[in-house]
Amino acid sequence: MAVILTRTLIMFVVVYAATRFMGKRQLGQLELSELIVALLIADLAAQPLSDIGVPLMNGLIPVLFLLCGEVLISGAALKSKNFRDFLWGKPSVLVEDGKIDLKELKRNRISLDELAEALRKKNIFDLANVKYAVFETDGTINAVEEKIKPKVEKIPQDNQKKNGEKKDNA
Amino acid sequence: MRKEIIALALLLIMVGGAVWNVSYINNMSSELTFMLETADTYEQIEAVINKWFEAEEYTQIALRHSEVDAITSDLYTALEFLDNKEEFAAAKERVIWRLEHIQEMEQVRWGTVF
Repeated sequence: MAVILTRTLIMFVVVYAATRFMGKRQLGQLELSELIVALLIADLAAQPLSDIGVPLMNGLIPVLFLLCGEVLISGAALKSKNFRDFLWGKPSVLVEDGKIDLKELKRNRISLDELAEALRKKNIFDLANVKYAVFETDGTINAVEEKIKPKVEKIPQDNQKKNGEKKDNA
Repeated sequence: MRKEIIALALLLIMVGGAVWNVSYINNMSSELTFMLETADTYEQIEAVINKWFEAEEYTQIALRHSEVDAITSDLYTALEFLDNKEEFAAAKERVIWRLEHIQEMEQVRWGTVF
């Protein structure tokens, strides 16, 4: 039991330090490579905890390797747009000026229902009001509504004069 | 940039460690295999066991405990069957096979990777 407790403590500290080292991006919306790393780390870290016959190194080394790989990949992605596009893809514009790009929807395997659902979550209920709806590389859909300017009616000159006289009288 | 440098350094250390690990296990296994092949007496087998225990700290950290326990068990079995030629030879072969097996497991090959 003491062995499992000690291993759990070590693994917790290492995974915590690793996640902290990778940065706050890991806690927010994950890109594809970050998601993979997060899933793998969780599984790899658990193995030596469930079986004390497995050396702790069998969990620590893969976690550290993934950590280093992720830091280097994200560092390279920061420096090179081409690499970033290759790694994580590009955002796709699904709706522009109220018009749905069916080709992009199909390419990203998103149904109209899913698009409508994502827009409703952004409090957008009328597709015609959507300026842009973008399918981001982290899998979320962001939308910008077209700002509708209120109609301002021009008051005819005669009425303006009449209104002015009435005010004077008052 | 600092994080990337630290990450790269860690990676290089791990790769270096992996290479050293393969070399160490090869040397250790070869040495123990040689000692075992020429061992015929109680003292010689005991010397092999002591040599194996000298590397205990390393083996417990780097190797699966089941493998380590199996080799230890087979070494004592060889000691037990010292008087029985056939059983003794079989026990020695078993230990030698296990030592070669742990050596192979650390090498990057199609069979070990996949």
